[in-house]
Amino acid sequence: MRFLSQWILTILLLVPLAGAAALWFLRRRVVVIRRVALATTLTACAVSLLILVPFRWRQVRVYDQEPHGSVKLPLKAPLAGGAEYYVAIDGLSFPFLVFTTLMFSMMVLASWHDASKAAGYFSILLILEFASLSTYVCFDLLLLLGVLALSSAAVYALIRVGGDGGDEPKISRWLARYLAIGLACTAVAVVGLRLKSGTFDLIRLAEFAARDGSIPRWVFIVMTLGFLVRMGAPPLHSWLTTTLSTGSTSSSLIIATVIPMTGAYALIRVVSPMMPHASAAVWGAFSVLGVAGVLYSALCAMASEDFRDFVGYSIASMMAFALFGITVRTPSALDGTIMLLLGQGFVGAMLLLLSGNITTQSTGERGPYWTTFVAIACVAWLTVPLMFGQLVITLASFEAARSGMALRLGGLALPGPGYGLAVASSFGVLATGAATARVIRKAFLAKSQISQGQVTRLAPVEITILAVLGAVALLIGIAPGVFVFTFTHPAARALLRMP
Amino acid sequence: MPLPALLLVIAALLPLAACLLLLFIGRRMGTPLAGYTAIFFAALSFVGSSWALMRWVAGGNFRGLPYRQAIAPIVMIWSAFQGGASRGYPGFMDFGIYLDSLSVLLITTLTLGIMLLHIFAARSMRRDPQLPRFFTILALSSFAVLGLILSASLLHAIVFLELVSLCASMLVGFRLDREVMTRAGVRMFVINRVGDLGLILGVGILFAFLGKLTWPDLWLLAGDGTQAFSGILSDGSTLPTTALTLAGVALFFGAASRCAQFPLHVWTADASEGVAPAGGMVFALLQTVGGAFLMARLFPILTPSARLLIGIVGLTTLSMASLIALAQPGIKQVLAWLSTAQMGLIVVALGIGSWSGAMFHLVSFCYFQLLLFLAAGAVIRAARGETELEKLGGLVRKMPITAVVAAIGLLAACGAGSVGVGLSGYYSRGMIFKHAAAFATMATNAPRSKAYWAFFLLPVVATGLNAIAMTRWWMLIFGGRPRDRRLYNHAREAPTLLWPMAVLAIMTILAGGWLGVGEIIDSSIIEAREGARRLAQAWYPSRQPAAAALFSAALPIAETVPDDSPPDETSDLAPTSQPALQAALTRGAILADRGLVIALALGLSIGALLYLPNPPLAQRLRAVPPISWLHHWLRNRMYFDELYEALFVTLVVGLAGLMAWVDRNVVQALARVLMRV
Repeated sequence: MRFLSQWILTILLLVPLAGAAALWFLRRRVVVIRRVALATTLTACAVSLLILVPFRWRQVRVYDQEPHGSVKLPLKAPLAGGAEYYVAIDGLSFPFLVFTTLMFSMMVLASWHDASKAAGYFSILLILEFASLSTYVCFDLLLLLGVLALSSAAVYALIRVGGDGGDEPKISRWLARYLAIGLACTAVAVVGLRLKSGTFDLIRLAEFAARDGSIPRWVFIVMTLGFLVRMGAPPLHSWLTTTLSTGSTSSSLIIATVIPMTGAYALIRVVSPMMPHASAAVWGAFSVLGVAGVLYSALCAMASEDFRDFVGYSIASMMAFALFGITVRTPSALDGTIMLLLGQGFVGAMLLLLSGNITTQSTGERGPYWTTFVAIACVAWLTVPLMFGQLVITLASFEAARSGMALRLGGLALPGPGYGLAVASSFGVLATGAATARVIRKAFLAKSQISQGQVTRLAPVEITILAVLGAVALLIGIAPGVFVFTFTHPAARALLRMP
Repeated sequence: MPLPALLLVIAALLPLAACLLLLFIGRRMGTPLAGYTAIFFAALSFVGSSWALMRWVAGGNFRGLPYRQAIAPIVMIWSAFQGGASRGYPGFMDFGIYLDSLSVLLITTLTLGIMLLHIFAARSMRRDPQLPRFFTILALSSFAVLGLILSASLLHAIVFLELVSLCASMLVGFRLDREVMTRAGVRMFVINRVGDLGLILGVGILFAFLGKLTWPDLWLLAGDGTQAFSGILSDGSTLPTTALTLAGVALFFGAASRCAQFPLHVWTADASEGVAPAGGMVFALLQTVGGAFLMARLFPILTPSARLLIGIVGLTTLSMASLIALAQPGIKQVLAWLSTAQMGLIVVALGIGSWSGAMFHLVSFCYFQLLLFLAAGAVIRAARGETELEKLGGLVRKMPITAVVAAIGLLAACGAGSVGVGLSGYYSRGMIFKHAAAFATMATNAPRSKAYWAFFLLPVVATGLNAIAMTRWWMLIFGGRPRDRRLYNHAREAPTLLWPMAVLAIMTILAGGWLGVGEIIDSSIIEAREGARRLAQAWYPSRQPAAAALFSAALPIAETVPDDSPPDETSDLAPTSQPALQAALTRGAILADRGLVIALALGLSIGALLYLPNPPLAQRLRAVPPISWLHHWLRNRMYFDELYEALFVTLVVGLAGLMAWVDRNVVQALARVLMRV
């Protein structure tokens, strides 16, 4: 058990890397390649669930004690600057880990019948899985920057390799440039932080910020912007909407589910514990940005004529809500934020899979199961878990606005603006719901304009994926306390330095 | 888990099981089998809830404490986690079951109604290839509304209410190939979402101040009347009355959107476009019950100012809907507006403190309104889908049983009865009128403005208007000579559709004075007080007096006010002495009986005068200005749709277009420039 608790995270990270290496030797055997890729992702998924065993989650904390599963190995590279191979886990990381391993299994399944997806594609997919998983367990800032860069490169390569001959090269270039700008911002801020604090260790950095509080304002702004780019929160969402509206389904799935999630997680893990001490006023400005982003992207979603556009703007809207949730800085708000992120990952993936080639001008009657899954996705989007996540964040914002503790919303000293933001976020819930309802009517309820021969029929593998995604999304929504908050709440309290 | 709670949880989960089953294999089952499967689950659900009702009345012990009707509720609350931000722990995640006489009664009523509706729909839509999908939505709707009633927490009630709204929208927009229906469904959902704004704000304020959202916690911390609103909370802070008023009004705004209350009533006309069983579900069992039940649960925390505002909104809706119903052309449109008027009456009742009256009327409403919608469905089916009232006529000869059960429904809806004997609506409407008259009497004695008498007089006038509208509805369908010979020749009774209506007709007759519904509802108040007392004893010892004063704003149902009943100190007419209250209630009972009889007699007489002759006198009258103008105004629903379209829809769609333009031409252009750089 001791071995397991110490090395399980490293084992988890090695599984996709080993799978990618194995695929390299099976270059021409397509069937075997797929099976190996699926076996690898499923193994990673099983290992991520195995993490449940060795740790006591109600006591899993970092920032005030040694985190579970910690492994620290100094990196001896020339420019490492004291960076370490430092992996650990707490309740904030765990749901993201399970989400990622599950989503990658689904992505492999989604490419199952695509003959163009060969060894190169699946190898890169597994490397991307490695990079994404590393993001969630990495407690060294330089290492985090490295894995974020690796995942950006992997996404670029994956879209190029996995494209179906359409706009993929253009999209991947656009995306790579955008993400590179975000990474550049993060890199500059990382250097600034290292010079000021003398460490890359995230826990020591948080302690330093809380104790010293002298982190320069520009570092805070640049680092937040860097992660916001990755998150796709408005006004830095253009890459998300553009790539979703023009990319293939498989590339859209990766873009919509993997990249924004890593950005949001990095914002929670890196920026959240240190930034109120850095600049309360700018923190408040990011609260305003979050709420404004929710309303802005919801209105854009409402005006969308293309279903993929709608999904893109809706994800941007959810990301803006998540940004607001992070800035509220209460454990409940972080619970709601993580629930919202996970929910939008699952449901967004469902909608993208279902959208296929539809536009808001098509559809009506579809093949068996299609309507069923659309109904499940809509229920999940409009009630639990997504609306519930928004509701939790909004409730937390009301509490933060009123609270006399150091939780006051967004660092604003007066409760008035805090209440204002809380009320505005309520309008955000209304706007996202109204936009969804309008587009659903246009996309799914309008009279069919496609002939019977063009009717989309779901393949068994797609039905499997959708059933898994729908079931997990609804489970999260029905029992958030069991599936999300049990893990996130103690960790969120520790992150926010609450007893 | 105590047996009644377990049975009701199973009763709520059975429709969910049916939904999941039909969702995945409904299409394969095909049309009749899917219907029978849904009926089977609905029937099991009804059996479970009936058994639960019996066990509830018998009573029992849970964790060493007794539960029973008029003794104490079953409260089962689980906390997701301990520790919290600023108070004991983040109470928004507490969830559980709150079971009292009201919830047991409502669930039994609803499961019976749902079962009968399933049977009716399976027969009336038996040739519809989309039947499995319809039953899937119907089952999910049933789960949502039952879950809402069982819920022990405001937050979870809101989540279930959201599901209720979504299901109602799906039911209304069930026919995907009919643009008007899908548009109506989405419109209904969006209007409900506007109401959600109030729910979120209200729950946000309550959570910010109290940190708890379960019903007993809310009632105990904020629901003991004006004198304690400024009391000190458990963390030493205070709860300002203004905040509580704001929260109450905001939450009412959300619930009102479900009950089609002014100004969020505009979905009513559209929603009646759906198929008849969908209309019955939405108007009689789903939306309206959900909204009214939420308001009933929130009643103890409403401040006098909030209640007054609620009463005024109810009066406005009641008057407006009663007038609009007079001129509607469609068979279901009239029923939809009359439904809205009934909900207006329930809201008025809650506003004046007639909590028992409101809930009593809600139960009666479920039966007679569902009966009317099913009768309408039977007529539409017999008339080959024709829904225009003016194309029907003379069907009493072809469908005599439907005509009789429809008449029973209509008379119950108007409150027909006198000297203590009548249909269910007579008792419930009469109780509201009695309380309204008592409320106005106390206001006059206070002394306050005589305008408080509007709470009595306007509902009486509205009853007369409803009687006219219902006479018109019945006469145009069943009375006179046939206006379309082809439809008339085709029409005939469908025997299998009759018996769900017959059961509902029997319940419509019995649910008033014979089944003891009023007493069951009234015992909820005693149970709430006992539940709150137990909670106070365990967690908030200083709030013990608040537990005893719970629901003190509710006017008593009994003719004789017991000496030990708490004084009505939360009313804005407070404090009221017991003899004065007794006198007001006695006078109220007399006025209510007289008012009801006069209004009904006048309404039925005027209706008969206008619609009995052939061609109807009303037809000639409405060609004469200014009656023609008035008729046009009412037929177009006072032009609210056009007003909202011009004011809000254009604004929002324009704003959305502007944002999309900004995104395309400014934000993305800037991003492109940045990329090039």
